[in-house]
Amino acid sequence: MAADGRVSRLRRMLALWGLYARMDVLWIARGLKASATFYFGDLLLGLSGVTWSFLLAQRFGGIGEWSPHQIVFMLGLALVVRGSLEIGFSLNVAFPSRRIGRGQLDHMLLMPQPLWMTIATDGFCPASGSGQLLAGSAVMAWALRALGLPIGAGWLALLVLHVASAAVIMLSFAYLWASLAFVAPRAAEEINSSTMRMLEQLKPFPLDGVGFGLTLGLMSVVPAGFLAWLPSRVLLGLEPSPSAWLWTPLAALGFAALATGVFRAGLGRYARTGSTRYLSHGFRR
Amino acid sequence: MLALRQWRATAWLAGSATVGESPVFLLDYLLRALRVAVLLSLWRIVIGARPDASPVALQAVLCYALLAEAFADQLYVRTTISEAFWQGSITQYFLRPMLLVPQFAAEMLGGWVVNFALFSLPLLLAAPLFGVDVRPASVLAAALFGMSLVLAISVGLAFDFIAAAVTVALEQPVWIVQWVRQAVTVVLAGSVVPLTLLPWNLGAVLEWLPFASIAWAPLAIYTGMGHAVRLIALQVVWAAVLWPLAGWLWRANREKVVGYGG
Repeated sequence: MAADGRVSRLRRMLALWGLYARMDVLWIARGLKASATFYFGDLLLGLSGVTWSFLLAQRFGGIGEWSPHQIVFMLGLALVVRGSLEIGFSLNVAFPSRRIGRGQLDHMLLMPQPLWMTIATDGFCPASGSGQLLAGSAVMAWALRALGLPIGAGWLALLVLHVASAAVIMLSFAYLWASLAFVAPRAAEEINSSTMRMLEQLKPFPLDGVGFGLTLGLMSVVPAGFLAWLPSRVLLGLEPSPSAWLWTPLAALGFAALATGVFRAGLGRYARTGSTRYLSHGFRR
Repeated sequence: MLALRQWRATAWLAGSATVGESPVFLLDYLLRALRVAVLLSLWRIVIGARPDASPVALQAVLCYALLAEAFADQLYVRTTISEAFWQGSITQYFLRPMLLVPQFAAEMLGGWVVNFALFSLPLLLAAPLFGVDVRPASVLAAALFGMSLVLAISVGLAFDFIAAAVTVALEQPVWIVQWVRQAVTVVLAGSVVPLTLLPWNLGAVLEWLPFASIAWAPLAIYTGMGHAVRLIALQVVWAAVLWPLAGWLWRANREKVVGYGG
């Protein structure tokens, strides 16, 4: 019975992903001006976030012990991680404080399916959200070629594992902070803009040598180190520990568990208070 | 006198709204403080490993980075006009007995006062704890910094209204224009990396663009990295060019503004 339930849920999710993918393509087809502006705006923003790190690496022949090509690989990986979030969790699903703060969580709760399923499928935009993933893949491929790293099936599996883990950490971090919007919907509506900006600004740097305290902070309070730096160390073979490949996936599990617990607690409060953001004639308070 | 009272009242309303709503805004300051600490460490790694490759001393770069964060509001000017489009509240601004630019500028000022008192000032006072000497390159540099900062705000404000007019003219969502503006500014304004540290002599070229007038100019003058007279002259030129452009663009497009609500 339990296996049947799992299969039926999987079928439902596949059907929803297919539906949202179709809607995404239809959105592009509906108006090329709007979709092209969105696509290139998103791409430009992603690239600008990593450009200055690249420029510094060029100017100083690397950053710390990292060579310019290793830096470029890390920047490509950072773009791929963000790009995978753009594909799977667009439309503010990765910025849940906006949905909670604006009272739009009600729309998700009304769906005839569990909330987690809505979160996992609602923001699927494989076409319009592909800019950073494609750009990041190209940047990474170029850096790998320059570095002459041997690429096999095992390495590719490790890459996928680390990209998925980093994306889970990014998403968990967003949901962790977004839970504040259950308590202060208006004040915390844009808290995810701050947290995402923070991750975006700190992810394109190698953290070797920043000191124990800061490294600890960047692997916990603001887990920017898991988004590109540590995965790059593992994938480029810079990390000597044989168990290093497990660190980011384990951190992803930890962050996901913590975020789930905190978000559920907030949801419990929301069930009692609801949202009061909209006035009866539609304007937001 | 009436105009001054209007400015003060609007700024007070905006500032008190920031503080009075919820203490959540303080968390943003914590994240910014962490960001400063990381950036300072990174500069120590970048320049500390290859001091000969840098045309400026590490201490000047650290001062530049800390000042960029302390004056972040002023070096990337953003009024709430985009939010007003987005929420439909722009219609209310047209109804008030005050010109549009002063309304948004006064609101912005109110937010700045709060941020300056609760974040920028403590950050500047705590600079020695970060190992940063925030004293200016000279007394003259400090005086010229003040003048340059006012010009930077003026150029930044003009950019904000140009972006607003472009949003209306192109009928684009506000966040897309903001993305493009942010993306371009981050790289070209020198608010994160001093232009003089860019490769391929890019900085010498970028200094002549208007973006350099909003961040690089005041920071370079304060830290002694740039030629003060040339930078201020460029700021004056860009303010003189951009304000008429912003006015013309806004007048040409303001009647296309439609408020549907949030």
